[in-house]
Amino acid sequence: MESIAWLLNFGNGQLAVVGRRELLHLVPQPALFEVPRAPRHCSRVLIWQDRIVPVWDMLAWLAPNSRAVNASLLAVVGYQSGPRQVPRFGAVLLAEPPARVVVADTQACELPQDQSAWGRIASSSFCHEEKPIGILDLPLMFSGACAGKPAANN
Amino acid sequence: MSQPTQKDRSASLPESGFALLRVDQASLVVPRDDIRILELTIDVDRNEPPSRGVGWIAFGPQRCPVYCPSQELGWMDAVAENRPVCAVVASEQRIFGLLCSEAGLIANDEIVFQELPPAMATPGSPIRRLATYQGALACVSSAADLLADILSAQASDDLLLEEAT
Repeated sequence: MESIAWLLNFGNGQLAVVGRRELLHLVPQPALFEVPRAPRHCSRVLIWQDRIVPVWDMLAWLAPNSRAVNASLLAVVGYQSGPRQVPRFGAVLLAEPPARVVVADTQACELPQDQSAWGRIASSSFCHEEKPIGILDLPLMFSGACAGKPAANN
Repeated sequence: MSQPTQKDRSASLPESGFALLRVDQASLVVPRDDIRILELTIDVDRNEPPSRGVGWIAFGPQRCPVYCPSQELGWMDAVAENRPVCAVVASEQRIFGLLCSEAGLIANDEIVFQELPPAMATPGSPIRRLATYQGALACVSSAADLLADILSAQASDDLLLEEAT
């Protein structure tokens, strides 16, 4: 079985995918607002369609001590925490526009054990161009399960 | 995160409304009833400031501690630039001053509240909710929440001091 997904490039060679229907909107040069005392990987918000949307900085998640990057491109994502649940929204910072990819079940693979930060936010993974790529678990990322717990390593 | 609704809005409005305290680029919204009076920072007595504070301000017969929040909501031990206003606020527990860039009342129909996204919540944060006001973000707190945060910071300092001695 094959599925269409969006390949997200966060910069520094860090990639992941989200489902075809989960990517809603690309925002170039987004105006972001800082929320004091929020976790560093999710310390900014976007005001999008009258909603306050939390923005996930993947590079900060993977390397908590890295310098904050300027946000030049952002993808708004939508997800549901379960069947018939209300849609919820988040955003992720990107280094370049997403690319459409086709993922087959036969590409399934394990994330290397030294990539625990990915493992905490990926529902599964697949092999893409000989590299394991995580499939983001958006409900988990934005649920608060990761709040205040920056990844120790990647 | 759900779309803000009228229910969100009505549920969050005390009858007296809200006040906006601007701290550099950050906007803090507190219930209007928490504000006792607005004073000038130049009237703050900076002698022997309290722990995590910058001085004292007179409010009636009382001498109240004054604190200077940073834009990141840390509690500074010196008066930052561009803090000309001392908002004297009250919780049930204490009256105290907060130095800010500007302070003013806001109309209830100009602000829309939203829950703090779960991914942004951290234990002990004085921020309870977020809001949009005039197209920008505002963080919703209260005198009680801010005081609890100050007391927590002071307790951490005391603990560190104990460990060091």
